[in-house]
Amino acid sequence: MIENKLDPDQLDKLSNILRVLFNLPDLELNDNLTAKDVPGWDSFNHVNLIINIEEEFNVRFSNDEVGGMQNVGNLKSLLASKIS
Amino acid sequence: MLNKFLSELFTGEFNNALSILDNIKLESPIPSEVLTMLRLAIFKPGQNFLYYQKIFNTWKKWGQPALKPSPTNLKVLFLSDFTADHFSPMIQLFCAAQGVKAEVHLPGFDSIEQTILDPSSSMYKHKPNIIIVLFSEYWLQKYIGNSSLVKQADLEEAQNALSTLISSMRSNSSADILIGNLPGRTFASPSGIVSMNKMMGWNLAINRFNLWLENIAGDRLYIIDIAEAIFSAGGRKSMGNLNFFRARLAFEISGILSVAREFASAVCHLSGKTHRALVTDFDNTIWGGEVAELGSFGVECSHESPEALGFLMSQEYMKNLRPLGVLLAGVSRNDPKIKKIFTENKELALDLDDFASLQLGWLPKSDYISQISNDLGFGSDFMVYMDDSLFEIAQILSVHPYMDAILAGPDSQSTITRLASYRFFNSISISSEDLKRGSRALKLKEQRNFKTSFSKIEDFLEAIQIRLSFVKFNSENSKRLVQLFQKTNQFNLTTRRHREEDLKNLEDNGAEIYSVSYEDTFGSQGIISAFVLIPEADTLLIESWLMSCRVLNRTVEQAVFSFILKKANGKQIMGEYIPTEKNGLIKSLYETLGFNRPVMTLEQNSNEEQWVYSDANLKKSPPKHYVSISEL
Repeated sequence: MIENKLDPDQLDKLSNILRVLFNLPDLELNDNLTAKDVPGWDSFNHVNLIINIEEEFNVRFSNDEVGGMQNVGNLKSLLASKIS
Repeated sequence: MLNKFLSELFTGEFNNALSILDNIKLESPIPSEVLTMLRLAIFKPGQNFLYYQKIFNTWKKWGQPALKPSPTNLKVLFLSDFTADHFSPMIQLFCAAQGVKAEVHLPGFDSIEQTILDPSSSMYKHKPNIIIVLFSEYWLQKYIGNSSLVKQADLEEAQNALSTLISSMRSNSSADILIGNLPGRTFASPSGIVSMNKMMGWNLAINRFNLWLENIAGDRLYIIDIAEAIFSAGGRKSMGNLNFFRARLAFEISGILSVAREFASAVCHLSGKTHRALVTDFDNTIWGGEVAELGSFGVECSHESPEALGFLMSQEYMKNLRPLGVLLAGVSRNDPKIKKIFTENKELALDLDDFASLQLGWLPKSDYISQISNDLGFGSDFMVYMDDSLFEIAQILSVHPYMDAILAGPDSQSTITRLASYRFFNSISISSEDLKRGSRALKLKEQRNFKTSFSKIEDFLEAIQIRLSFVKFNSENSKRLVQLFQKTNQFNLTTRRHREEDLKNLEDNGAEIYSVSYEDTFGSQGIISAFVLIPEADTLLIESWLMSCRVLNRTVEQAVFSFILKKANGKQIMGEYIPTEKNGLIKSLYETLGFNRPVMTLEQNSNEEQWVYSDANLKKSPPKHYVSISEL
């Protein structure tokens, strides 16, 4: 398992993407947060989230990674591994 | 706040501009500068989806207010053979910026045929005003196959299938139908445009399909140039080359946004909510340098240098808007004498005749915009302002909050790029009236000059020999009549937004619908007025009456009324006035014409006024006019 190592700016940027896409201005990310905890996080919005993270961070997730994300902690680790 | 927002929007960070907007505390009523900021943020092209979603959220937070006066409400149905969830909020948002409140329904992915062919399907129950049909290449592939060479017969089968769908939509709905043409394939086809023995490469098949589509347009069917929208978005890289596999998206985000903007712009065009004039500053906007300092030949606008060429091409771009019916106006802080540059410097693309209104002087620029609005006969909400100074843009927007604006510069190439990419002036069809608007504005200008030589208005009106022709609603005038019903706000007594179907229904039920064309010694103004008369047992009801404001103060309304009076043939005439935000101009029209308020009124809506021109009035002489009338 790769360690979470998003810096505070990156974490803020990621939080902001979720806040805008789900229109939840007060959403706080914690590692155990999953799709079913967030209203509107369905299969379409999952892909939409990935697309927007890819655009904003200029990274690319593989098909397996998109399908295999379990929770926000997992997403953060994956993203961190691609940025570093 | 507006100043800071504009500088972030045009010269700083888009995200900072959005944060300024998002941090404004909610208040009621919504401040007009918030509406201006929302609109300008929406119009800014080329941003990531996340930003537009952020604007959408802010707009929603304010209760999705109308961003232009007198918005048009429309139900839009969006049919596609791929996942199109992004389109609904984006089309709503882009339409809102142009004054159209669109309610967008998506019946579900890959359901085009089922939905269209079933007359009892929910799409028809929604009674949409506009149906958008957007196919991907995979829809075409169902008919023509995936082989690199396509059979002519298979292409014809796809065309027949689409013809059947169009017929079904026409017979089950009165909506306008927008169909997108096809961009190239996501993955380049090796067969290109080869052609042999009734077989052709995929690219050629798409070209032929698109050409066929353009030829079947008409009768409520409009073809939208999605191929161009995708080209603008970066071409093949904006096609679904990654996310088609993940979620059946036919386009990547940049493509989705460009296509959504194109459809929204078409929807707004159909509702008459398009920009009708470009108002431009001069120095460092349409040429480099200051003409007062450098003289007519010292400014930069020619083939001589990269910077000068950019100015020349910007001028050519502006000039080319004119044939589409877009008017040009100039505003400059300069001595009026500098206008000689347009006659002296032959290298400029624009000349004096290109400007329907020219305002040179030292007053605040917002005053000149009001003058231009008078000259052109429509409000600043239909205009776009371009200047290289953020100060001037902010000053104008603070007085004209519904005007749209773009910044010119810092170099001339940025100006033409911005002018083209904002898609402010996007035609999907052109009526003959649009074509005439430009020459009409110039005639008006001559007329204003002419008018000053008469001391009495009566003498002037007599001298210009106004002639009105009354023609019943028919296939030739229907397009312009429907356009007038959609667009006219000020001289519109009941503001009933009749569409073609409504007019047909009214006529089938006995109504008499007339168009009125205007002509005088300066030339024709085309159809300038329309009215609907409903004959009842002992009354003639004026159900609708509207007129273009550009013919006001010429006794045209008195002449139209004298025609209606003749049609009443002794019956009493009933008129209605339904006040709106915009039609205060004609509040006293019926009174001026000699109507009275009835003693007993049946008014259901307290605002609505009924007026009667009865026997007692008939003895009075009808209002005087200086117009000759004929019915064709």
